[in-house]
Amino acid sequence: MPAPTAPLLAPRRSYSPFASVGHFVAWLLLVGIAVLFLVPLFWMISTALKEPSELMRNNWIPQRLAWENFSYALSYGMWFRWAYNSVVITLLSVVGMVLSSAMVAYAFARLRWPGRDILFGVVLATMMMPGVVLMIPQFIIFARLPAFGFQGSETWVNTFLPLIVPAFTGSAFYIFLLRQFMRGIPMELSESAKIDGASELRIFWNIVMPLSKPALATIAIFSFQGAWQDFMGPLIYLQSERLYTLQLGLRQFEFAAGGAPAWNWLMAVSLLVMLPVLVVFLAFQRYFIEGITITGMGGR
Amino acid sequence: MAVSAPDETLEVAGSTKVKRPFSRRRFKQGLTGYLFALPWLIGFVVFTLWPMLYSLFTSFTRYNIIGDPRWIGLRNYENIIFNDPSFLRALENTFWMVIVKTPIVIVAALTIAILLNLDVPGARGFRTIVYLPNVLSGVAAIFLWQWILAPNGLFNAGLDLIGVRGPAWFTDPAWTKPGLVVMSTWWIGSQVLIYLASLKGIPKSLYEAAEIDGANGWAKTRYITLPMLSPTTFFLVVTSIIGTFQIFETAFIIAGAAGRDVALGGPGQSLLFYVFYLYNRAFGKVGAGGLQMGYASALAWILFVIILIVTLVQLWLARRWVHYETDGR
Amino acid sequence: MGVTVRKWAWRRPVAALAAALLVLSALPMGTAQDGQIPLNPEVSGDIEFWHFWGSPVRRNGIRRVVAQCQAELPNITVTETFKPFGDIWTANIAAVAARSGMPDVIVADRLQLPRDAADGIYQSLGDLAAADGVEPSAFWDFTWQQTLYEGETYGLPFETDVRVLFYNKNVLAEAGLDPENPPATWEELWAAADALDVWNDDGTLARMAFFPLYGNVGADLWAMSNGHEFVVDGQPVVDDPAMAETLEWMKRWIDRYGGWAETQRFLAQYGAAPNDAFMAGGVVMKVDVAGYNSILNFYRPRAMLADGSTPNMDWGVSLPPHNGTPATWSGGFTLSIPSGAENPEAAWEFIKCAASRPGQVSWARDTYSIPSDISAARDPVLMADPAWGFFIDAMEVGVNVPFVPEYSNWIEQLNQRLESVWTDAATVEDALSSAQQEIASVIEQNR
Repeated sequence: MPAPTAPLLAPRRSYSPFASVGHFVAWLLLVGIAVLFLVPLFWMISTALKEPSELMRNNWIPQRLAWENFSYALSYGMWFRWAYNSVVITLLSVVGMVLSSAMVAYAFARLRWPGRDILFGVVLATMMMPGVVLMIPQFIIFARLPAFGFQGSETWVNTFLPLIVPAFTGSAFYIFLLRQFMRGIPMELSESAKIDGASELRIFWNIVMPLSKPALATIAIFSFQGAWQDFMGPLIYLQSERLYTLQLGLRQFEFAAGGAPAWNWLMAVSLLVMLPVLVVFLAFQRYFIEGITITGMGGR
Repeated sequence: MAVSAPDETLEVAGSTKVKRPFSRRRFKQGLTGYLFALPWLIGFVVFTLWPMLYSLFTSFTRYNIIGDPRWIGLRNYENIIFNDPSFLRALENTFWMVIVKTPIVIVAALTIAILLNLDVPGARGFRTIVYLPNVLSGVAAIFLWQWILAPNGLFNAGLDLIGVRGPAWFTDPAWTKPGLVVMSTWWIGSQVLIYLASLKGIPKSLYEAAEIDGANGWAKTRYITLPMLSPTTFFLVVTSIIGTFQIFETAFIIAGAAGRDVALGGPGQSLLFYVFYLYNRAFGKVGAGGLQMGYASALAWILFVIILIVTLVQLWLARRWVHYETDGR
Repeated sequence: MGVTVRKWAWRRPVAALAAALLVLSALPMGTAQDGQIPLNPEVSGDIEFWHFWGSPVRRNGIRRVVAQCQAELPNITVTETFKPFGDIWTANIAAVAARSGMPDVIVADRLQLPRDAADGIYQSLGDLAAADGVEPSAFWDFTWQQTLYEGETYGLPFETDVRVLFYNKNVLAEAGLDPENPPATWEELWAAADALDVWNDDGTLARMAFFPLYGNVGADLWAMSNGHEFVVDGQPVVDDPAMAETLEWMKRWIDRYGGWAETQRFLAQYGAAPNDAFMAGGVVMKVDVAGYNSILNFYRPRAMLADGSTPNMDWGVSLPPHNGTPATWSGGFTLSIPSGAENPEAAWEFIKCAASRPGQVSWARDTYSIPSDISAARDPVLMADPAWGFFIDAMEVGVNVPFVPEYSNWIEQLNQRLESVWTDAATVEDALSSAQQEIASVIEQNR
C-alpha cells in the first residue's frame, strides 16, 4: 500500500511542479492508474474497428480501421427504434423524477402540515428497502392494471408505463437529498414573497426551484444514467421487440451471430449505446463530480 | 447517511406538535402540504406499501399469476431454508462477493483518493479519468469485460507477459467471481470521490499539530486520516454490501453468454447470486417451472431480513471502529 | 441392436443444390396434397411470430417459410421476431401472466410443452386440429406424443433434430486415417486422437482431435451412448455407473488437453461461423445437430492442413462414437399459440401452413433441421443430398427422454454441476449423488 511519505498538505514550491519526491512518486502512480482505467475503453474502441481476422491477435491498433463494422452492426436490428424508445423512457422518467422529487421535498422542507415528520420517517425507512422485495408484487400489480390499449396492450406490462410512471412519484433518496438542500435556502425569501401575495406554487417554481439548480442537476444526471442503463426493468416489462430499449437490443444482438458473439460488431454497437451517457458526462462533468460528493452515490 | 439522518430530522419534529383549534388558514396550509407531497404519497401506497403487503401474502402461497394463489402456509419458507441447495449456493456466492469485494474496493478507493488528495499536477484530470468508468456501465460495459476477460483475451495476454498462465475466467467456476471482482475495481470512481471529499474536509490544523509532535507520514495516516475517514468508510461499506447483495445484471449477462441457459446460474452455479436466483425462480425456468411467485416472494423477504441483520450488525460493529467527530471532543 | 449404420461421405452436394433449385421453382403450394393440412385463405389478421433463430442461415430460412405462408394466406400479415434462446420462453410466460405482449405464434420447446400446458401458458389446439383433420400419424410419433397434455395437442411439431459426428476428411486422410471410416467407438476415438492432435513447440495445443463438449452436445448424449437410461419407471436417474463412467471419460478428454482452463483457452481462439473451431481447422471432429450441415454448406470452408495447403474442406458425417449401443438424441420444437393471444384463428392458419409439408421442406432445405412430418423428411428435394438420407437413418437410433411431470427440467441438476467436475472442484460421485438427491427433493416438493 503506497502510504504517502511526504507531508500530506505541504505547501507548493515555486520552481518544480512537484512539492517533493513523494509527490512525484504519487504522480507516477496516478499516471499508471489512469492508464489502467483508460485501457478498457481504448480496447473497446480498438476492437470495434478490427476485422474479424484480427480479433484474436490482441494488437492495439487495427491494421485497417474497419468503420464498416458500425454500419454492419447497425443494419442488424431496429437500433433506431430502440434508441428512440430509450430516449423516450429516459427523458420522461428524468422529468418525472426531478419534478416529483422536488415537489415532495419542498413539502417536507418548507411547508408545515400535520403528519409531516412521521411521513418523512417513512421516506427514510423506504430508502432502506431493497428494490427486489418489491419487484415481484409490482410485476403482479402492473400485470393487472388496465392500459386500455395503450401501446397495443391490455395491461401495463409490455408498455413503457411501468418504467415511467413510478418515476413520477419520486424516489425516497432524491427526496431526502433535495429536502436537505432546500432547507438550506433562507425561509425569508419565501416569507417576503408570500407578503407580496405569491402562491405556494409560485414560490416553489420561481424561487426555490431556481435556487436548487445544483441539486436538481445532480438528480437529473443520476436518474438519466439510471434510466438509460436500466436492464432489469425493461427485461421484465418489455416483451415486444418494437418496445425494446437499447440495453435489451444489445442483449439480443449478442446472439445474432449464432454460436459465439462477433466481438467487433458487439463492441461497435456497445460504444454507440454508451455514447450518450459519455457525452452527458463530458458536458456536465462538474455536476457529476459534485453530485457524487454531495449525495455519496454513483451510477453504480 | 440513512443511518444518521433520523436523529437530526426528528429533532425538528417537536415544533409542529402543539395543538391548536381548527382554522381555515391552518387547514389550507395542511392541504397545500399534502398536495405537494401527493406524488410520493400515491407512489408510496401504490408502488411500495401495497406491493409489500401483497408480497408478504404471496410468500405464503403457491402462485403463478395465471391461476389463483393457493395458501400453503410456511411451506415456501421451509423449502427454501431446509430443502434448497441452490438457495444455499446463492447465499454462499453472495457472501463471497461481499467479503472479498468490499475490502478490495475500499482499500483501492482509499489509496487512489489519498494519492489524488496530494494535489499533484493534473489531479483534476486524474479525478475525471478515475470516475469515467462509472459512466460507462450497463450491458455494454459487461460485454466489454467479457471480452477483456475472455480465456485468451487482453487480460490473460497481459498475464502471459509476466509469465502467468491466466485462468479461463468466466467459464471456470473457481474464477468467475474473481473475474467480477476484477471488473468491479474499474467502477470505484464514486467511492474515490466520496473519500476525496472527506479527505478535503479533514482540518489541516490536526496535521499541523501532529507535525509539531514529530509524527511522520504513516503516523498521520494511521492516527489522523483513517480515524477521521471512518464515518465515510462505514457509509461506503454499508452501501457496498447492500449493492453487492443485489447484483443481477452482470451475473445474468455473463451466465447467459454463448447461449448457456441462464437458469443454471453460470458455470457450476458459481454466478448464482441471490437476486439472480430470485429472478430465475420468478421469471425463469428453475425447478418446477415458470412464475413461482410465491417461492420468489419468500426469497425476497428472506433477503430483506438478511440485509436488515447485516446492517444492524454493521451498526453494532461500527461503535467499535467508527469515530465521529463529536465523540472525540 | 440391429441398426445398420451407414456412413456417408460426399463432396459439396452440387447435385443436391441443383436439384433443390429445380424443385424450388416448381414447389407446388396451396394445392391439397399428401401431408398438407387444408388452409383457409379467407382468415385475416396481423400476427406476431416469435422464434429464436437469429443466426444468418436460420433467420433467412424462417423468413422464407413466413414469405411462403404469406403467399398462401394473403389476408394475414406475419411479423417475425427473433428472441434469444431461453429468453423467448421466459418473456412469453411473463406476457401470458400479464395478459399482454404475448406473440400469436411461438416456437415452443417440446420437452417443456406439457408442463407449460399444465400451467395454462399455451392454448389447446386439439379442437382445431380435429376440425381440420390433422393426422397425428403424419408426424414422427415421438414428436407428436411430446405435444400432448391430457390427450390434447398444444402445438404442431415443426422440426426435430438429430446429433451426429461431423469430421474433417482432409485432416483424417492427411493423418493416415481412413476418411471413410471415422472412429465409431470411444476407444477408436481416443486412438484416432493420438494421430490427429497437434501440439506446438511450447507445449500448447495447436489442433484438437475431438472434444466431447464442443458442438451441440453434452453429457446427456454421451451417457446415452454409454447405455445410460435417464428415466426409469417415470423417475429421472443420473447417479448410476454408466453415467459416472461417462463423466470420467469426458474428464479424461479434458485432462488430455491440459485441463479445463487450457481447453477453454484453446476453443476461445475461434469465433462464430465461419471462424468456428471446426471450420477453421482447430477441431477435427465434433458432434452437432444435423443443422450444422447447412452452416457448412453455407460457408463452404477450406481445410487448413499441416503442410499449409487449404483445399476445399471435405467433411463427412457418421453416428456419434459410442460405447456399446449407438445412440443419438432428438429434441425439437413445435409451433404453439400462447394463452390470451389476440388472433388465434390467424395464428392457427399460419401454424398449419408452416408445419405442413411445404413449410417444413422449405425450412429443412435451408437449415437441415429434420422435419417432424415424416413425408416431408423423406421429400425427394431433401433426399437428393446423400447426407440427408444418413440423417434420417440416424433418427432410428435416436433416444427420446420421457417427460417427467413433477420436474420436467430435472436435467438442470446435472448440468449445473458439470463444470465443477471438469475443474476438479467436485468429484464425479459427489456431483452425481447430490444431483440425484436434489432431483428427488424437487419431485417431492411438487407432488
